[in-house]
Amino acid sequence: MKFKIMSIMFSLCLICAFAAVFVGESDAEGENREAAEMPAFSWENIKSGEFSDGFEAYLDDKIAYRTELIELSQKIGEYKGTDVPGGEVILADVDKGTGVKQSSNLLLLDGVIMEMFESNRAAADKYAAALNTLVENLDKDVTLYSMLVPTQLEFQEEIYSNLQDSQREEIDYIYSQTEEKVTAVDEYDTLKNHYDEYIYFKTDHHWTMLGAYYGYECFCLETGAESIDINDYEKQTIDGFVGYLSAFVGAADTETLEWYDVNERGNIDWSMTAYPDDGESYNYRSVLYDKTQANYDFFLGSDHAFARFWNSELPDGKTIIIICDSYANDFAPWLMNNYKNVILIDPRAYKGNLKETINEYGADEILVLNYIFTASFEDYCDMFMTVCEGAA
Amino acid sequence: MIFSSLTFLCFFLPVVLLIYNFSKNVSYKNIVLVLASYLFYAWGEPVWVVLLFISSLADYFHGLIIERFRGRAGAKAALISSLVINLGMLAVFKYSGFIVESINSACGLALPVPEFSLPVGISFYTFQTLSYTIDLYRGKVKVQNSLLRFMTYVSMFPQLVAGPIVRYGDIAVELRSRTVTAEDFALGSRKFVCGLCKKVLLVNNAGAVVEAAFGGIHMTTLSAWLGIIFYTFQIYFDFSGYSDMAIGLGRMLGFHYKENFEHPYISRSVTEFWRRWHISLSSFFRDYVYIPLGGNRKRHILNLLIVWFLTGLWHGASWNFVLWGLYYALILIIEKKLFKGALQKIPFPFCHIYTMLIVIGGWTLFYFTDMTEMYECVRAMLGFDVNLYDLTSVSVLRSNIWLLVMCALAAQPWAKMFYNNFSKSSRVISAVVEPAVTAAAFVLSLIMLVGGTYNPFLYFRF
Repeated sequence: MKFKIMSIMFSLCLICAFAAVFVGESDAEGENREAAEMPAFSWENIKSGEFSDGFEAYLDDKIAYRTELIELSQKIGEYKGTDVPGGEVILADVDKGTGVKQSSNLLLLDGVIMEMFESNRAAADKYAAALNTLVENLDKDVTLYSMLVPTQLEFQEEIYSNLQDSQREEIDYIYSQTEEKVTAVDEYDTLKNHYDEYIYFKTDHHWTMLGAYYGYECFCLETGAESIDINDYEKQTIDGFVGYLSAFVGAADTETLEWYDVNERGNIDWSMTAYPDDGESYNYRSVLYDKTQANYDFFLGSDHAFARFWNSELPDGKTIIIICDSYANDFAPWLMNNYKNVILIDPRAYKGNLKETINEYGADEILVLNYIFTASFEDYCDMFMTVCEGAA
Repeated sequence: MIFSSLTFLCFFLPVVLLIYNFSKNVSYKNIVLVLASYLFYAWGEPVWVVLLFISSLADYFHGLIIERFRGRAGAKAALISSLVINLGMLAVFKYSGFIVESINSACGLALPVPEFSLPVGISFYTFQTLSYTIDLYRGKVKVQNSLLRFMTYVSMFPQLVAGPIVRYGDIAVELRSRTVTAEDFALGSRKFVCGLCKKVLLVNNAGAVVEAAFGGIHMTTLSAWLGIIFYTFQIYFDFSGYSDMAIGLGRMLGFHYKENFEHPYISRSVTEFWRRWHISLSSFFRDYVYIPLGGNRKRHILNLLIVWFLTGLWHGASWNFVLWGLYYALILIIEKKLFKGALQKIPFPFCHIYTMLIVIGGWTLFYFTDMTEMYECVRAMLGFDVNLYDLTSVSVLRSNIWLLVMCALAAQPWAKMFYNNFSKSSRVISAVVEPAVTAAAFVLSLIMLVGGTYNPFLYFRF
C-alpha cells in the first residue's frame, strides 16, 4: 500500500514538474529583463553546448511561479545560519597618491570607511634602505627621526583588524632593518590609547588634527622639546566634511572637521615651490587652512612639492625638514610654534636637492613622516630613495 | 545532462519513464533506455557519443571473440586487446596531456602538449566494460550475444557519467528479464529524492561556502578549516548523492545496483573508511589489480602502493591526486603493519577523530591542484603566520552554522535509522508520512533549483 501511494505521489510530482514548465509564462517583463528564448536547434549550437545551456535557461525562465519560487528559495536559504557581524568589505581602485591606482579592499563599518593594509616586504626593505641612505648622508649634527603612522583599522576589534596584515608587525619589521642612528618615534601605542577619540576621519584615510596632535606629542617626547598645549587653542569646526574614501561606498555620511588655528597671532608665514615637468620651478603662496574646502585639502590647501613655514617669533629657533606624504599636512601646523622653519618635502613631486636645502636653511632635524601604507608602495619608496640620495 | 537540472527533472525523466513503461517487453525497454542514454550523454557533449559507441562495440566483439576462443590463445589475445583499447582510450583522452607535461618538466623538453577535453564518464564506463571482458575471460560471467543488451549495460544513463561502477555480472540477468514493481519504483524514487536533496540542499550550499572560505582576502585558521571541512562534506554528499540518484533511477527502471557509500564518515579507522567510501571503485581495484598482483600474500606493501598510486591517478591527471593516493597507501600500510587492529580497542571518539583528521588531510591534498596553495592552506590550518579568524571567516561560519549541523547530521546513519523507525511505527504513518516526505523533498529540491546557477557534480571530472 505504502509503495503504491509513494509511487503515485512521485509520479504526480513528475507530472506537475513537467506541467510547470509547459503551462508557465516567463516573468521577464515584470522583472525588466529579456525573456530567455528557445535556442536555435542547429548542429553548431548542439556541438558547442549552447543548445543545452540555452534550453536549461529557457525552462528555468518559463517555470510557473518562477518569481515566487525564487523568493521562497531565498527565504529557505536564510535558514542556513544566523546573523553575521556588522561590516562590509568593498573592493575599490584607490589612488596610492603616486598617480597610480591599485585595487584595494575597504571595510565599511558603522559609517566608517577603512583601508586594509597589505604587507609588501620588498617595498618595506626599500623604505628601510632609503632611511639608512639618508642617515648615512647626513652630517653628525643633524638628527633623523622617523614616524610611520598606523591607520584606524589597526585599532579595531580583532575580527576586523585581522582582515588586513598587521601594521604593527610591518612597522617593527622596517625598524629592525634600519640603523641605530635612525630614531624611531613610537606613536602607535598613544594612538591606540586615544582610539575612542576623534583621531581618524570616518570617510578619509588620514588622521584628524587631534590625531596628529597626539603624534606631535610623541615626537616632542622623543626630541625633548616642550609640546604646546592643545587646550590653548580653540577647537573650530567645519560641517559637511567628505573624505576621499566616501566615493567608494555610494552615499556616505558627511562628518565635521575639527581644527585648531595655530596662527592666531599671525606669526607664521609661508611659501611653496612647484617643479613643473616642462619648465622652471617657481614659488607661490598657498594657504595654511583653506576654509573653502570641506575635505582634507583644508590643510595647507593640498600637497606641495616643497613648502616652508617660518615663525617670526622664533628668529633663533631650530629648523626641521619633514620628508612626508599628506599625513604631515595636519601634523606640521603643530610644529610651527616650536621651530623657526618647518619645511615639508613631498618625495612624489620634489625635484630639488636635499643637501642644498639642508645647507641653505641650516636644518637641525629631519623627520620622515608617512602613513604605513606608503611603505608598501614600491613606487613611493623609489621616489623617497631618490630624495635621500640627494642628501649626499 | 545532470540529474539536478530542470531539463532532467521536468522534462527528460518524466518523458523517459512514461515511454519506458508503455510496454513490459524488455527489448522495448532496452531500446528506450539506449536511446534515452545516448540523448542524455549527448546533451552536453555530443561529440563523445562516438567514443561511447566505439567502446561498446569494441568490448561487445571482444566478448564474442573471448567466448569463441575460450581456453585458447585467441581468448587471451582478445582480452589483452580489450585492455589495450580501453586503457589506451583512457591514456589518450585523460592522461596524455599530463604525461607529456610531466616529461617536459622532468627532461626540460618542450614537446607539444595534447589538449583533449575529458569525455565525461570515460573513467567509469571504461572500467565497466573492462570488468565485463575480464570477468568473461575468467569465466565468471556468460557472454552477452545481444548487442542491444550490451549497449544497454554500457550506456545506461543512471550511472553512465559518474558511477557507481556497475559490474556486468551484477545486472546480467536484469538486462534480459526485469520487471518494475511498485516497491521498486517507490524505493527507487525515495532513493533518488534522497540523493537529489543531498545535491541541491547540501552540496550546492557547501560548495558556495568552500568558495567563500578560500576566496577571502586573507586565509585565517578558521577559514582554512571551514573551507576544508565544508569541502569534506561537499565531496561526500556530491558523490554519494549522485550514487543515490543513480541507484534510485536504476531501481525505478528495474535494476538493482549495489550501495556505493555506507556512511564513511563514521569510520573508526582509515581501513574502514575505504570499505565504506566509493565501494564500487575500491572493490574494482581489489578484484582486478590488488588480488591479481598477489594481494597480501606476496609483495603486500608494493601491491598496496601500486593500487593506491592507480587509485589516485584514476581520480585525475595531476600529481596532487597521485600524492593523495600514496598518502592513503602510507596510512593503510601503517594501520595494517603497525597498528594491527589496535584502533578497534581505542574508545570510538578517539579513533573517529584520528580517522577524520586523516580524511580531512586527504581532502586537502585532493582539493588543491596547486602545491603552493595547498602548502599555504596547511600552514593556515596549523596556525602558522596567520590570524585565527577575521570578519570574513566568522561571517561565513555564522551564516552557515545550521548548514554545517545539517551536513554533520546527514552524514550519520542514526538520522536515517530514526526516520525509518518512525515511518514504520504505524501503518498510517508508513502510508502517509513517507510518501509525503518524499514528495515534499522533491518539491523543495525543485524550488531550490529554480533561478539557481549551473552546479556540475565534482565527480564528473574523474
